[in-house]
Amino acid sequence: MLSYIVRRLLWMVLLLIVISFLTFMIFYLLPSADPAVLRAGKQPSPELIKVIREQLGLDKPWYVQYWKYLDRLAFHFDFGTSYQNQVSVKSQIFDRAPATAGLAIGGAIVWLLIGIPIGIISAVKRGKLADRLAMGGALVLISAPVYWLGLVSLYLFSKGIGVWGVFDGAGTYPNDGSNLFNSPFTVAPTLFLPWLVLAASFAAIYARFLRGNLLEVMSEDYIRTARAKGLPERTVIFRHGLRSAITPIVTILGLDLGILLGGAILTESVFNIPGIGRLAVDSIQKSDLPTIQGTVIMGAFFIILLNLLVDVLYAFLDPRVRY
Amino acid sequence: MSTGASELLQGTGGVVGGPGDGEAEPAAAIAARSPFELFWRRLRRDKVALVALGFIALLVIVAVFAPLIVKLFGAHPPNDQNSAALDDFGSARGPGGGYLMGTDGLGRDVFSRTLYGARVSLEVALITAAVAVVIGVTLGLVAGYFRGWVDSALSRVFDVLLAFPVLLLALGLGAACALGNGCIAVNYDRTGQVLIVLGILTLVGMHGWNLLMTRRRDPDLPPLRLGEIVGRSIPGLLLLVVGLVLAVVVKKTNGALIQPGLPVVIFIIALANIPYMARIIRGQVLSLREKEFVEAAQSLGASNTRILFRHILPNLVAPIIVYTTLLIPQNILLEASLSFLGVGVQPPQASWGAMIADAATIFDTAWWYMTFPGAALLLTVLAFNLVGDGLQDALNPRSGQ
Amino acid sequence: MKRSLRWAVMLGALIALVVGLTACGGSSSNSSSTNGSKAGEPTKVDLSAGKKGGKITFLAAADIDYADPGQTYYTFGFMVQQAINRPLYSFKPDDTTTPVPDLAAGPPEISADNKTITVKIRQGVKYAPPVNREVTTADVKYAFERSFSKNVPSGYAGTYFSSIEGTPAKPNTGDIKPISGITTPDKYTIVFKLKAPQAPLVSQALVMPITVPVPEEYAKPFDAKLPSTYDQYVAQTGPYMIQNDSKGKLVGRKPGKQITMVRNPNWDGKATGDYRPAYLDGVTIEEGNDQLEVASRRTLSGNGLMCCDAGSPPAQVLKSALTSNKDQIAFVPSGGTRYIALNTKVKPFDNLNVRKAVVAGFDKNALRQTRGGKLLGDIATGWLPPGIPGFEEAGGLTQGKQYDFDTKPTGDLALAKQYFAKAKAEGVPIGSNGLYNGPDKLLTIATNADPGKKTAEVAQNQFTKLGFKLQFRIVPQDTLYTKFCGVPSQKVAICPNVGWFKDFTDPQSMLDATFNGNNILQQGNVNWPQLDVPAINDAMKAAATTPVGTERNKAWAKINDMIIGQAPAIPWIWDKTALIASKDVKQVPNGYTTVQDLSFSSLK
Repeated sequence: MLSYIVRRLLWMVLLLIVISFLTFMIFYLLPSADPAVLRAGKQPSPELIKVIREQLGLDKPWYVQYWKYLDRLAFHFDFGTSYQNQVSVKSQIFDRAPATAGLAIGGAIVWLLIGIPIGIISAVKRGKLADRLAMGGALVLISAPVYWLGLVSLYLFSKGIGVWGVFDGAGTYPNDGSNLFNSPFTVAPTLFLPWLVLAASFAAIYARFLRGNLLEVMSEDYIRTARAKGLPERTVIFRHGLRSAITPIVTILGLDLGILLGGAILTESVFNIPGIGRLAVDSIQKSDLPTIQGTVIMGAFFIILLNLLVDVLYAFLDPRVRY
Repeated sequence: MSTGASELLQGTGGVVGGPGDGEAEPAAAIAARSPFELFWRRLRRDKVALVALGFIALLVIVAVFAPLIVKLFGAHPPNDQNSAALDDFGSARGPGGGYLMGTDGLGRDVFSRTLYGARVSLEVALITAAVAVVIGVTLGLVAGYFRGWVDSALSRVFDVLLAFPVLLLALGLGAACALGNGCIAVNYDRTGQVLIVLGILTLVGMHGWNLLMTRRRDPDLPPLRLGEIVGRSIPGLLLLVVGLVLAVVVKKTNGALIQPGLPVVIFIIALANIPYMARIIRGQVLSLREKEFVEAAQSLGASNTRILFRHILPNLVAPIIVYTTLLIPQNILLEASLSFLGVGVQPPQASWGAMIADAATIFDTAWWYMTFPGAALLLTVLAFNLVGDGLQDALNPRSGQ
Repeated sequence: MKRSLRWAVMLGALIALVVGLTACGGSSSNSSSTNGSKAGEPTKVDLSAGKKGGKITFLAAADIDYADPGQTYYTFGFMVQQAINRPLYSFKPDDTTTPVPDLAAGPPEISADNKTITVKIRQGVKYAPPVNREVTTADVKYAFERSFSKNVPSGYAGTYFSSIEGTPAKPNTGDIKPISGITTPDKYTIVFKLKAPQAPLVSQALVMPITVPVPEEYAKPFDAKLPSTYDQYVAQTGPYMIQNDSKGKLVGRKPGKQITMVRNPNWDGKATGDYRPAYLDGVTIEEGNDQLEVASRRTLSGNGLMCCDAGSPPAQVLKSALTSNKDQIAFVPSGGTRYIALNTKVKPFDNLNVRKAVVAGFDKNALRQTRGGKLLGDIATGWLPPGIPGFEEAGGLTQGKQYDFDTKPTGDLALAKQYFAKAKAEGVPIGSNGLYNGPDKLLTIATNADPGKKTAEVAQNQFTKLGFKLQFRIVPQDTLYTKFCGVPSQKVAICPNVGWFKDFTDPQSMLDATFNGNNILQQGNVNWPQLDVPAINDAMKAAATTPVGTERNKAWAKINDMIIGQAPAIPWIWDKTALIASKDVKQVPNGYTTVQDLSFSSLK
């Protein structure tokens, strides 16, 4: 087990290095626009550009540049400074992380609360009207782009605009540093609608996934055995079926959270929530390469990290996994 | 494997229908004698999927004949701006008065723009799916069949690609490439030449190693087979071809390889699809090559190439179709999302995502503007998902109903 | 010329005609009288005393460009600067033509030869903590010197102050160097010596934030860095200050999130003759409200809010607000012209008749619709906008009426074809349909943010209608200026999103930088059409020395006419900005910054 974890950790580090190299390529070598010119701001005199070139080390060969970049990244956790304002990308990301975390974690709770019961009911009532309706609705939700769903829900349900204005609308997330974790009661109302919208397609996916899993599991031999023993159907489903059907849910939940923690770009955009995803979009609008790069690496980091956690957790949960 | 909700758009999970996808499940079609026929027979029973298929056919017709349909309805061409259709404030006009679905903020016809939007969506979805299938299947076959170091190397590459936040990466590339003259503005002459040399070296090196080291040490190995030669040639050939393309073809086009707009989008989506497709195919091949019929073919002295193309590939057709169908709606959503975020199509081209982005600023007063492109997008994606679901059930009846 | 009017949004403002003698009043009443509606009229700025105390939150899309007075160059930055700092001169909200002495104790003294300007400053003005000492003229001198070093990239130092003796041709590298033409005979006197008789222009430019004092001993370590980090440590002299810590670091500014401004404990308006009443106890700028629609709705329905840094609220919000919340809206003329620059150095726009054809054929009304229609501006016909001295002399709203191609607000295709035909005789490829038919794809660089993007899309459509083929590129606004349109070597043919807005109110400042052939720069160029006509250049040289007054206005009005005759660009709007505030807020727009004046606005 330990060696497995160590192996995974080493692989994670290697993965991060490769990803850092790729992002380096994308943001330093690919663009035909000169980073020094971008950095030079509104009055890019040739002298200023030259000095910045030296400052950023752009006059050095690319492998030296990459080494320095990696060095800063790995040992100082330093993504550089935003072109837009003189603020470090790191502090910007840290500033924004709570909003994204609040959105993602709250959303996850909502979609689990909705998705799991529906999945179970659908499996139990397989083929019945309830099942068909639920699965049909799920497929519609999966097919709807989240930003469109966001706009429609704002149009229908946001205060001041909506036909049934019951929820706080877009742009109500407080900007004064309060977040879901330090002042839940002021922030949560502004997140209700985003949570629902974000959770819609996930809930649909989880319901479908759980239903499929449960049906699969229910045809296994040990379930048949349990039934044959005369156990009540309820016990069969909840004690035996659900237990193994839900394990894969943990996996995808981890992976989905990993991706969302790197920024729920679309939901944050539509609802104007100042999270990491919004940061990325804003910096893209302004060609602020260091910030974009920082958000990409953070995003990849979360994905890899959660992958690792899930694998390790899975090893604990499912004794059949060999490592 | 992730779920691929539209916020994620990792393209890694498609729409997860059940445990039937991925590597765990051997292809169900193997047992049957004519798997494809069986598959088709099952699908025909699925009425919903057939209706969805009909909708897709209709959509294709709409996309192809968009100009004709616009004329037929007496609508305005998609890029025609009519400031007279706007009010004093320059705000969009609702449905009516010659505008079936109203106008956008520039006085353009939402109806015809929605029709033309189908073109972009389908174009992107089909091109990226085709690229993903060709490259993904090739890589998956190679990795799954030859295993060993080729497999490990390729699998690691897929891992890296799958670890990227696709949407973020796409945004980054889109932004980086939107500046100046696009991306990868290298010296194509020299890069191409270097790649050609590298390709030749790889070719020589891999065969040389095989002949000089491995085979000399182990003279009992069976004689060289075509498949082995082809397999070992693939990396070198790939480099060679890319080099040739760069040095001969791209050199002549001015500017950079990846231009802002749709090319960036297609590049990114294809890149995100390849590892997904390759992994699935690899898993299928891994299990297929252990089957009796492969062993039988091998014992009869069939070459690797023959086994791959005659015995394994036909068994992959059904899963390829299913997973491609599941990829397409994801790709449509991804294109729309990128256009929504401003790194997709370039104006004045109409794309559903870009239209929704436009509509987002006036969504509370111009309900028609966000409704129609959004509904078109929803229906299209839904249709593909339904067909994909139907196909999956047909392929793997246990996971359905 | 007094432009002292608040905009009557209410119907009751029919009386706005009364003030028709002023530039803007005259202009706007012309434009909207056709409709009978008076919405969009300038309303009289109400300077009656406000309630003291309370706090206001300003909803902004993004951060200010700089807090550093030497670097800030955008309206929103100016708004904050006016609250936290005192330049030598500044404008009261209701009068944007005659500056009032701010840090200065009286009007500038100009020598007879127009080559020396002497300014005396007030005694007892103190910096906010942690600097805490009295302001001297040495601080103003240092402020100029640092703005001419490349560590402090100033957007305009070279444009308006390069005639001061001893200023470097290019920003200094390395240390900040003294400028010989600026001397401080004593702690409260500063003297500017000029190379050329440019005192009329320079003395009026002393309202710009470059004249905000910067304490050298405090700022030096920050300015030694490249670029200077003084932006995070600005010393403040205004009634308000961005919250800072004991080292002076502006901890109250969290870029992209918010700026917290509180009262400056060292500010004593009465003792130091500050005209600002400073009613509010504090202002918080809340950033990240980049959905203008949401922000403006929130402002209109909320409490204690003002909006927006990014321009007028969207048309549909304005439309409904004009019927239900009209007291909460104020219109301010932007004092600038937006235009589509045609690069006169690039084919086919090197041909005058092609340019005239384009100007004649363009539907400027369609362009204006993208910014909210006629309420939000008059169609521009020249380059001296309402509110700028010389506007009347140039012909008011019908500048350039002697040119047939300049007087077609909705475009005249037949006239365009006439000019294309003339161009054909000069060898320009014109097709059989009478429109342009060249093979070249004209590089067009547009902005990626609305409403500019919409404008560019309309322009794209219009150019296509006239037969041009475009290579249409969308980039961020900054990139548009710094990497493309402002760099002649990029050979950008069309810049659809440029505009020139007053830095201060002088006709020369509107025309000299933007159309003088001698002012074409290789980097940061603002003569976007790269117009270089010797007759115009010479006329500008002569007019520059004309003292402030009617003669000066007439001279520049004539130059304006000459420029229109060259059709270097398509002017399309002299726009107005609609400012909004919550019901309980008495917002006071400042005609100079064209946003609300934080030191005059108050809670009701």
